[in-house]
Amino acid sequence: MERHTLIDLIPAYALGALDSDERDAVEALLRTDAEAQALLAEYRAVAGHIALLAPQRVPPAHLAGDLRTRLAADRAARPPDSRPGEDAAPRGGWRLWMLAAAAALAVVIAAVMLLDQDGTPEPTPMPPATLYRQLLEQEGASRYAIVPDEGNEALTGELLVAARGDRAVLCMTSLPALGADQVFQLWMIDREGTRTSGGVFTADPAGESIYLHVPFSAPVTAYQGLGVSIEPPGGSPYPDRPTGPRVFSVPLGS
Amino acid sequence: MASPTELTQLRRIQAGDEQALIDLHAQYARLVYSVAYRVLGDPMAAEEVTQDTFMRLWRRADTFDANKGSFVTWLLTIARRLAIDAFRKQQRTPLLVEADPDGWDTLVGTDDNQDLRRTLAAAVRDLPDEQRQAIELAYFYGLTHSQIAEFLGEPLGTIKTRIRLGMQKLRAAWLAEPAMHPNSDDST
Repeated sequence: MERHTLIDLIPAYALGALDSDERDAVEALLRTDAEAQALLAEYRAVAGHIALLAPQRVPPAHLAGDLRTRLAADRAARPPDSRPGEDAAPRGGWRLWMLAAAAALAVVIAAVMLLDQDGTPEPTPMPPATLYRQLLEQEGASRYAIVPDEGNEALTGELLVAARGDRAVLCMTSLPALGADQVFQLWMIDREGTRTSGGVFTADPAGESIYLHVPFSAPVTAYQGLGVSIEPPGGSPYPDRPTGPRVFSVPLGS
Repeated sequence: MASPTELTQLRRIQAGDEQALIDLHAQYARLVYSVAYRVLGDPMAAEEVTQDTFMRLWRRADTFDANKGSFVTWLLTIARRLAIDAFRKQQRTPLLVEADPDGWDTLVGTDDNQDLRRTLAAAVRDLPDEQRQAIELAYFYGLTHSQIAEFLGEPLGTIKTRIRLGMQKLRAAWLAEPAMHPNSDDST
């Protein structure tokens, strides 16, 4: 490839838009050509600022609190007196931190009525609180933190998914009080953004921790998250979207 | 380059000062979230990427090289790469958005890059839509020439030309405007 052709490719190289053969050729030129290097520096500076053109969105207010939670987990995962990034073991550490937190927490199991859309009690293979304790001890179980929405900052909890992905249970502490004509409704959001109801439930106001089976119909990797909203009795009139405010979400990552 | 305040905060982060990270989060979460949302088009996924970006900053603050560029572009590069990773794993379809220069103008006062963004916004506004679109597909979605050509159903050569011409125009605007140089956004 001639030099002028490669020079013409530098703008795309700065964007990361070259296919592998052209990328290799440009990199070969950059190893020896000072003018090409200078040009690349300019295009990289331009490209670096394109991000500033993303339409601005206001992030939810709970993100700052959520970051503090993650920092606490990171701190618990590191040896004493170590610095960030030193011997960090975020997954194991998060697990240990959560186990310690769980042990320290005086858990009061609340009476939970899991209702289907007709108000009929839904049979469960194992009490969800029992399943939660079982998964806490299970090697390879996945854990996902609850992210409360604005106004529900006291709410904490997590989703535990069995190592095989066939069982999942949600633990919630300090859910907001419901009105007499309100229920909570669980939503499962798949990777396409389609919401499916996971049922409605109410919580005994005397209890502190609520446990709920999550009826995933596909592996957890098929979902991008969970959400719980406040709905009228029987749940949202729509099968695929809530009508009331969201109480919290559970991002399932990528 | 980074401002003295940012360099101080980065040093505090390396020393394990969590409040320094919280302070940077308060300052830049909106920009990071906006970039993640632009890529993923989903608030929940954008939240996750935003938090992952700041945790990456927490653990890897020592990798910032002030000689290679500004702190904010470094941070947004982390955010963009994490968002593109999530985008690829989720096998989403790129979102083709209309240019929204009015939105840029009204929101331009929300951070320390006002002149920078205004000038670049004007340069992008002057680009033909097809050039802007090709550049955004490369930048925000990590697509290559051939992937963009396939996605848009256009000849490969056409896409190469659009990206080259569009970037040349942005570079010309960058060179003509002192506020768009890396050093200038750190002086605010």
